[in-house]
Amino acid sequence: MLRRRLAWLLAWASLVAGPRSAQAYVREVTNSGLPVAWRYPCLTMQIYLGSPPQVLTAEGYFAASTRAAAVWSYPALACTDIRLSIVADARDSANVGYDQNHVIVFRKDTWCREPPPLDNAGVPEPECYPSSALAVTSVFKNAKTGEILDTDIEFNAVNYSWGDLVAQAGLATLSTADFQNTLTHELGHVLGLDHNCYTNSDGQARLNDNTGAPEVDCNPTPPQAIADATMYPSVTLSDTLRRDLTPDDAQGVCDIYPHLHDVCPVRPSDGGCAVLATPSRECGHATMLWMAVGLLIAALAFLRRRMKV
Amino acid sequence: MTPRRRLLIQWLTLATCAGAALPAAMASLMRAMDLAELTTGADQIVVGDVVATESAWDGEHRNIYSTIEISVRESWKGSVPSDGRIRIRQLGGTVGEIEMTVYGMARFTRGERALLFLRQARVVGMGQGKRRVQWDPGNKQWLADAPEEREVVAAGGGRSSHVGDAPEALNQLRERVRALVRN
Repeated sequence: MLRRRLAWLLAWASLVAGPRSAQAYVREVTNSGLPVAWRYPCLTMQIYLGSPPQVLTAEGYFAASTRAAAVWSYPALACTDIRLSIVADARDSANVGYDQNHVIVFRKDTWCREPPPLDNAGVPEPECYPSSALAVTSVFKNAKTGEILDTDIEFNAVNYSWGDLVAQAGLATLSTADFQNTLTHELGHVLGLDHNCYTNSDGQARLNDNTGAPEVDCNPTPPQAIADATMYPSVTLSDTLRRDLTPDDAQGVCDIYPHLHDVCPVRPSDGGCAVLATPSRECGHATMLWMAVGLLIAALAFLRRRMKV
Repeated sequence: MTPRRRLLIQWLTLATCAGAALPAAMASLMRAMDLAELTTGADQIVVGDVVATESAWDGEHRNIYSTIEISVRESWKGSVPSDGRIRIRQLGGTVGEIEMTVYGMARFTRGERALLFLRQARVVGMGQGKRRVQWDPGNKQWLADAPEEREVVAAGGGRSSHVGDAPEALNQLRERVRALVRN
């Protein structure tokens, strides 16, 4: 009897405690400290594969990017509402910048932003990245609400090759990196996760992690659970282990976008409601309206039953 | 197999292993640059205070640029204008309601002091060319933050383990950089 009670108590305690994070995750915030997130959890990115760079084929890049998106998404990650999908575009490349198109592109001729930004006089002013940069992710967000509005990922195919280092471990060289590994990390940024520890180039402000504690230092030696995570900021070129999320990475995306819908909810612009942790005002109003209607129906049913009695 | 061919294969194997172990910082994804590479890549190396930052859209309203004004305290390489001020320009910043973040770019906070490796008014290696400089009251000296973290691949193909560096006394770092500049 006592043993059965103890077993029930343990089961209850484990339910209350829930899955525990091995360490912590850190959310990206606006300059004013607001955590950022997409308002709508079904997100599509286009990958431009008209003439893919070495080493993978177009099919290989598409398969790798689909796998990278899937690990962050429902149903592979059952606790989240995020559905990040990849669509292949047969064109060579695309422009980046604030245009509401979320693209993944390879720069093969020059490792520069396209189109070249124009200065105030309308003259093109090339913005080139250092050759030491393998990939660059840009995110636009609303500084007042934290809503992510646009994102682009550019891969450096001028100075580096991109391969599948799991299928072909022998490819690892001075200039070949694993495409899926890199993209999985960058997609974490796309979804609103920051690096999981503090690096010296982050400026003075140290962010808090999900437990409310200041994020740990990347230097000199962070806890193993931090160094193991997909959102850890430093890896070797041959690294392939960031392809899989650790419990901290998964908890991050599930806390930001908890699972509420088995199918993609209707876009807010279509009259539906977004599902994020920071819902919009209209969305909040709609929810409150439905709750009020529900309460009214319940009250009427209760009164009717009382009157019958 | 001829000795020459064997030597060639040994060199190729060594080069492959060395390449696979090169550290890279995912911030966007960057190959980590050492002090010599940062110094060589810079046309200007200064220690300075961030006195102002200003952001604006480009002419096409596609990108936001920030201009960061630095009051130079020390110049280790290159020349500094007579007013002691330099301006850095980089992608990212906030204009009105819109904020643009380019992962990997250095973040600047008004009032902070930093060691900066610059080339044509841009930070070398995106964020890698910026190291925070802070006063260490215990030892009464200025410390420059460690360079980008370094990693080695763990034996047996496990997740990579971390080998980081501690902050370095600015006096010591100055000597190292000046020696690199002289060479």
